[in-house]
Amino acid sequence: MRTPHLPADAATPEETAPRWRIAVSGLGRAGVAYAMAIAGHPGCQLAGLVDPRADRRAFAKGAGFKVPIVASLASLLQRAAPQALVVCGASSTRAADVRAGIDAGLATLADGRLAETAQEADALATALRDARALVACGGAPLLHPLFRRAGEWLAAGALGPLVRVQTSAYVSRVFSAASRPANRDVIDPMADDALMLLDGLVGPAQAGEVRAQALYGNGPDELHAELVLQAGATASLDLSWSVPGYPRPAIVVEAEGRRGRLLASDDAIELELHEPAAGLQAGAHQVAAGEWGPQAPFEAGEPSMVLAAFVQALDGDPATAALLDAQRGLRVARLREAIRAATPVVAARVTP
Amino acid sequence: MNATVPRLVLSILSLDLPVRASRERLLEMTGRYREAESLAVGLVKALDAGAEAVCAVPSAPLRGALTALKKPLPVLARLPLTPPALDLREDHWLMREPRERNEAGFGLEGAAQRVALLPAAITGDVSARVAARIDQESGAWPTRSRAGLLLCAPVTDLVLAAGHARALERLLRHGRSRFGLAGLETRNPGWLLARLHEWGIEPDFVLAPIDPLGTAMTPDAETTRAEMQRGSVRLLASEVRGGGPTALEAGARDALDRGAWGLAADLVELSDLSSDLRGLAAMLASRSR
Repeated sequence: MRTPHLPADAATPEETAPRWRIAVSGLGRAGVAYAMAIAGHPGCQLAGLVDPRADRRAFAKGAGFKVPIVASLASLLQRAAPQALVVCGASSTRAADVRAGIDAGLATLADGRLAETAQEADALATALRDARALVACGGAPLLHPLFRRAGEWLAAGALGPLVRVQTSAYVSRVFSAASRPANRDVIDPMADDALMLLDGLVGPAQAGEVRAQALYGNGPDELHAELVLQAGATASLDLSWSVPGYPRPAIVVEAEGRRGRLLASDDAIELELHEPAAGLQAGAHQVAAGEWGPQAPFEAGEPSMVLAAFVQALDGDPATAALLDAQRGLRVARLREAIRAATPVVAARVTP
Repeated sequence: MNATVPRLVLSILSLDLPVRASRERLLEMTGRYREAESLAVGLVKALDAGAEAVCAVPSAPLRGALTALKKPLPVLARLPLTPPALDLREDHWLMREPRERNEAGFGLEGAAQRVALLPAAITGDVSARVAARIDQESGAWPTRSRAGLLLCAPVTDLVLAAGHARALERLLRHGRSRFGLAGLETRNPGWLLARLHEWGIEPDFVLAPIDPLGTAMTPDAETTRAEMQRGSVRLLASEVRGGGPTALEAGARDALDRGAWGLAADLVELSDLSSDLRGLAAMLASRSR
């Protein structure tokens, strides 16, 4: 039997020694979850925690993390020797935090978002070329086993040339002005995961026409964007955080090609092929959720899956590293800004 | 205290929280039990079929159902509340302070326990924050329905990951002082069982996902099953169907065979509430402890 090991305490000799000392920058909701995931990963040791806000540092200390908890990365580098950094601080400082990790020579993972603006993305592109260690960016959807399977089929050309791709991301959260987070709209936080997934499954896209609706405040609560894929096919993106029936966020991708049609979500994949392709027979193919074991050795939400993939990439797994490609993060930052720029100004029609 | 730990629990957590099930099934259940009256009918059926307690978030529909029932219903209350909308916040949800003065622990009820938590509060220990929330969120909860506290997995797993044994001890003491029984919900059963053994901490029960495929058994199925065999903690197995692929009876039998004390079956896992619960009750009765 393997003895469970949490690096908060001393490891027993028979256990796998932690290979990676990883620090976390940004102690919000995601940062705390990453700290948990690192502490529970047998291949990792939590090296330290960084956040400029004193209340967040106090919270992490009160939660019991017995590692250096400091206000800046520079301070952490003096007190600990991390090999890698997970960046999950505020969007406004995201690119600067990633840059700090790169400049310190640390392998760096950006949680979901690499940069806030296209200008920041362009600046980071230069830094990425000079990076001495792995720089990664990713969110959980592209790492979900069902979407990974869908991506493998698409990459193998199961559908043939794509004709049309539709992507929707829905969650039931905002149903009044009071429940709308201040200074945010549906693009932030929902666009990044959907755009990263779309890019990972069918490649880069450019923004076309955008329509938006404001339901409970000034700014989009629902958005529809027409996109053009690099390969020429059209794609669409629908985002809403005000639709009933989605207590859990749900992203659905529907792709239509010359050889068939694919519908993928975190519930199931349905593939319908008109002819044999990519080693698959013609006809209907289905894969349901629940056919896999735990996606990470410690469950702390989506960050567990991303952290586990980051460790696999650090260990040299090229397929997983490709799913965390930082270039995708740069493309998505630019595309998100283009969508925002094309989004018409909308004011609330309903203010209950 | 352990003698009163229920062995068959109906979980209605899926009415308020995302659980491992298909979206269609979740919507079907939330639609069916949206009204307090229909929920009350379901709860009565469950108790008649052999459920000894209900595991729930103390929500408004449940309070309505309890009022409609006009009789005590043993509830294992999952606290603190973790509504899905917390994922829109940038800060960790426990960072928000209780809003009212009496929520922070100045009331007369449980004064001794609050004094015991004073050092934790002064040092900013997470246990003081959590205890204040438990008091705040259970304030409107009928005392007669308090069968036990189920400390929610986001708290259990946070202090588990941080290796904060004292916080768990304090919270279990606090829970017992308020609810009689105090248990731990976790998404990391193998880790938690091992740590509890190592730390010498004995919750009244643990509620965790256990299924034949090991779908959510971290760090892995093998380790978790080995920890279950130790049998030092009364484990209520949840999600025995692993989100769908396993039949209810097979999942329940597997969990009990591997050392689970009892079963916590959620509404989304039951095709027919009464007959499925009767089947589980019979399975439990056939096993001598």
